[in-house]
Amino acid sequence: MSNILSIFSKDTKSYFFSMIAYAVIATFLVLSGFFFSSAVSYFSFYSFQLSAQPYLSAQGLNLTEAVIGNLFFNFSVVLLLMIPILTMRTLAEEQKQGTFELLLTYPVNEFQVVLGKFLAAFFVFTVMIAPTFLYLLILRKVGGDFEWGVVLSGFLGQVLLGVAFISFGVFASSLSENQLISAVLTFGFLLLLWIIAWLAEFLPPDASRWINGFSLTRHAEDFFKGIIELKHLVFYLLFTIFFLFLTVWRLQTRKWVR
Amino acid sequence: MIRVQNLSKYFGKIKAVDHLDFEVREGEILGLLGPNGAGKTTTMRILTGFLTPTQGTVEINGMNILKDSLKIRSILGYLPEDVPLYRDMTVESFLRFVFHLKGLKRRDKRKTIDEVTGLCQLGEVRKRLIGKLSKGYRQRVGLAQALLGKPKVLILDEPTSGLDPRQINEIRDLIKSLKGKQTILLSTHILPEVSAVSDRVIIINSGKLVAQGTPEELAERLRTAQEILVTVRGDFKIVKPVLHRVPGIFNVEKVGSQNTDTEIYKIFCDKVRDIRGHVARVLIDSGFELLELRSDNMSLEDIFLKLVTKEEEVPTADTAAVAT
Repeated sequence: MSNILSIFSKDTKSYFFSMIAYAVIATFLVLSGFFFSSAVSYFSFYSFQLSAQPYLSAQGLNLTEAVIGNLFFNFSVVLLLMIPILTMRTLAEEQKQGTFELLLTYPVNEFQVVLGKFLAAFFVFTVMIAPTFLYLLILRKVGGDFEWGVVLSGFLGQVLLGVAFISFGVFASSLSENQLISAVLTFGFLLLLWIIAWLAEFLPPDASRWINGFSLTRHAEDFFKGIIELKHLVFYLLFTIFFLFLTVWRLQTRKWVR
Repeated sequence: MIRVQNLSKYFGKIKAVDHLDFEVREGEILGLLGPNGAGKTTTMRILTGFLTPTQGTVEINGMNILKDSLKIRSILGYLPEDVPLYRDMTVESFLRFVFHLKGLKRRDKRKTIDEVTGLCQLGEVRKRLIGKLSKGYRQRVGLAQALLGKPKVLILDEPTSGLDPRQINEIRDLIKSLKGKQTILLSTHILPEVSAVSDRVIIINSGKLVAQGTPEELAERLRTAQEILVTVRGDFKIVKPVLHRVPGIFNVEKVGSQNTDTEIYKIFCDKVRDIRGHVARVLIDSGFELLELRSDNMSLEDIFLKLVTKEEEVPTADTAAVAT
């Protein structure tokens, strides 16, 4: 446990020290802030227009559905771009600098190394998405009427998605000592699992069920609508555990190289 | 303390380590000498558990390297070649990080880190970033992390490479001062280095053990081979028995020929006396034409080079004497 903590804190400091954390967090916040403000602007624009038409205005537009759901979806797209940058150096850099050799000749096992690094990336990720909560507080402050339940479930979906992204990113980083290769692999793989659901629409039902089962988007949709289902939760957790163990396995087999 | 038996490591078809057997006794400083690419680093990486052997066993402090890897690593300090370090950490925070990973007792933290920074003379750079330090300082930081917590076994891969002569001496003195307290295996490709610090030396080449012994023993054994080159008009079969009449000669080899009847011979003899005059007299007395005679004395360095580059050319009698 203390080993995991040591590696976690070393990596976290290194994220902030190397400015990567600041760059990634700032970029994420600028982009997500843009998405947020444009979504709210559109909403108020259409609400205003609707209010001029007496038949429709009685019901009004639903802020939760129109803004919140889409907002998390947009945030996820930004995550897709940011997570590979966050995770690309985790193990690649250690391998390139040779510090990996130093690290693994201390009484530390591969599992502790992987978990420590994963948690460090997760911590930066949390710091990155936390301020988006402020957006919603501001929206509420100016009179926005939405359901907090959907917001919380949306955040849960976001975190699960982030955790899954990071676990694959860490794995990709173990494959090469080149950070760019690991970033490209992460981005490509995650994007593929993101868009794979598009294919499902053209396939027979059986095949499309499978495809949807692997789609990172499909599993997130319910969370963004405010529905928390166990099967989606399990999907993300299994995805994460699978890639973390694959990383550990990859590090353990490295030394048996022939 | 360290027992290596029949150790081999292949990378694909390349044999990096080839049936290596050696032992490091407790409190001893053993020098692992060999040219670049001889398999020193691979051997050390196996000892530290960073690589696994293809074949053979390694025991450290009675524990098997495969079964008790974590336990072994907790009594081991390792300085890898090229000294990889976290460049974006300060010396102090790096040593604290290592302290935690080595699982040392928390209450001794201050004392342990102070001790090791003092020993490696890092006091003035404690707060500086490792990436901004000079090579000499970085080498010392590398040494400091290995020494941290006084591990029973120290494995140092070329601890003085890339340093200036003054720094080399400092590091050597530091290593010598640890003698008896810790068991040390250090590698180098520089001959004077091993004779300066180690109790015993093993020489490896192409992954194989070529020779082992104390530096004095090795030097003595290697030095016993004095070589003389003679160019004589005469057949090998006739000349050889004649030369063997000279006391001190233990082998004669034909190494080349100038014409059909002129041959160049190499004479191996002990170093105790100068037999050149005797050789000349014997040859002329026996009616041979002596065209050239010169001594082909090798320095210790030459002998080492020869031993590790063209092993097969070293006479059999000599190798037998050396490779005990």
